[in-house]
Amino acid sequence: MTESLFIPHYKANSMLLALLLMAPAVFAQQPVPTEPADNPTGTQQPQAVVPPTGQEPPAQADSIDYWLGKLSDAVSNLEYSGLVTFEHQGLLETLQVFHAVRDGEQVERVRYLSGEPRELISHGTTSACNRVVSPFGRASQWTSIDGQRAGSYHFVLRGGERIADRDTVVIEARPRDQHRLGVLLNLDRETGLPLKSMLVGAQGKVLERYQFVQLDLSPISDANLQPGSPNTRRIDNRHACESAQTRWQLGWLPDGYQRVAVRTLADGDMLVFSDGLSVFTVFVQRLGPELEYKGRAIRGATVAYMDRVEVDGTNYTVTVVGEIPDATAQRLARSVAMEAGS
Amino acid sequence: MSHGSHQDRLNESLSALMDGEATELELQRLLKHGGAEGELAERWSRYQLAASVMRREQVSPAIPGLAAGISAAIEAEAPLDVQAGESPSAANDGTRSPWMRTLSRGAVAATVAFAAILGVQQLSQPQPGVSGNETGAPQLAAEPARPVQQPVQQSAPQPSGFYVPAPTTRSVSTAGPRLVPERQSGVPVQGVIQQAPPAELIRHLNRVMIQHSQQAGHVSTQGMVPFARATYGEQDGQ
Repeated sequence: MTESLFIPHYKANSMLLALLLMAPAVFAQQPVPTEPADNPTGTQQPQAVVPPTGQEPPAQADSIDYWLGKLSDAVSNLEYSGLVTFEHQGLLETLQVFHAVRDGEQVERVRYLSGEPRELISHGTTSACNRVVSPFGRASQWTSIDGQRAGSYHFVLRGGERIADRDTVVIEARPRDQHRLGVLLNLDRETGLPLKSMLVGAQGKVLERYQFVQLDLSPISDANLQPGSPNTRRIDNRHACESAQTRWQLGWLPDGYQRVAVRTLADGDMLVFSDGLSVFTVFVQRLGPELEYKGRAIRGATVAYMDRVEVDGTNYTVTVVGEIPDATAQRLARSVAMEAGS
Repeated sequence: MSHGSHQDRLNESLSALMDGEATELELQRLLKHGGAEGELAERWSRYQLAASVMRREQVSPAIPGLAAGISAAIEAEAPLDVQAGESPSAANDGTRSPWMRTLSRGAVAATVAFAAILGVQQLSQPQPGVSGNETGAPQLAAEPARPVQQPVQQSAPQPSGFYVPAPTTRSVSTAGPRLVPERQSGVPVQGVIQQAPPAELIRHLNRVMIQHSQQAGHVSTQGMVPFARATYGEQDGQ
């Protein structure tokens, strides 16, 4: 009699306590995004890596090289489509993406499913272009030179996770200095395609998250590469890899970054730098006095820092844009100078 | 049947649950004879300690072995579900079996729920002063570096109770962009932009962000991520 009265009470309490006990344990099993920022120098040894479930030969499956190579190949050569969520600072956007290869060039179409109906279609990137500047092409060099001790990031395999109904491998790229953001990538175990990508800033703050909710690996039909909305922006990247001449240079550049492209704009120059994972762009333009502004703007993981530089009595507006820490952007902007003698 | 012994049994079953060794028989016995209090207390405190170590792990992840042990224990819990379900006649009191099944299922489901809540919390912690706005214009923020703005919340998230966070995304801020010029600049910049950022400035920022994103899509191996960013602002790219 008494006992039967107690049973419901017992059950409810047990579950509550079980929850409180188990929740931290569960949390600890997940990738902890604070680590890359808290330990940029990698003083903390990586936790035991959960061995992948063994479709691949062990030597490959354990190797960062293997996965980064696979990633590099997948983003250039794989045809896929899918639905993606993109979150930054509490805003959620949904996108439909198509990625196809036509005549050796990548054709990409993005439909933005929230907000105003709009699209973006990009033509003309060749995989050869990507390969020249591909960070992951270099990543394999980094890791082979000195184990994982070279390079701007410390790569750690962190076991698996299921994303968009597919098994993924989690790779954490911990920055070795404060001049870049941490990256958490989930690569599709079968294809190497990144199905989730998070940028992690100082103190483990997740600045943005790009994540598939559905992936289709069937070939893309031409019809799906045509604009379906009048509001379509087209990008022609046939010359994305070519570098124009520029008189501008940076007096300071964090280790690991190098200039990967220069383009000439109507009102100035645009210099693109990358360390393989992150990219920032330096704009030096002659703009009106109303744009002589010093300060920064932040949108999700993207920071834009504006500054001015005066050369021979002419004011130029400098804008550093990138997924980099704002202190880095500020320092970069201040270091812009014109090459001597030009 | 006092309330105190009821608590003891509660603790014991919890400990067993954490150990993954809570056979139905054992639970039945423990429920019937709630003895061995000292041992129970010891075990309870051990798990308490383990749990608090786990919570601090983000701050000082010094005991991976313990964490791994507990993780393993939780994984080992899965058989309990099956076992409890498949041996209903093992005990003298058959009515408890369904309870145990319900309990373990509930615990697993609740575990998942917790993981989800924590995940959301982490992503959606708002960054004071830096929020998106409806027009898609970038937020202009004050000079102090981003990390300065949120010193408090960054230690390990500890669920202090049950609460359901608002849907993953915060409602869109209606406040206009905040524009604060660099303070050390010798030249006083017009104070008016504090309230109303010049349209040219916003346009410029949108334009460079879009150009950057489009270019980044082809110099890095980020896949199509930069195109997701390229939605910023209005379309007056070149």
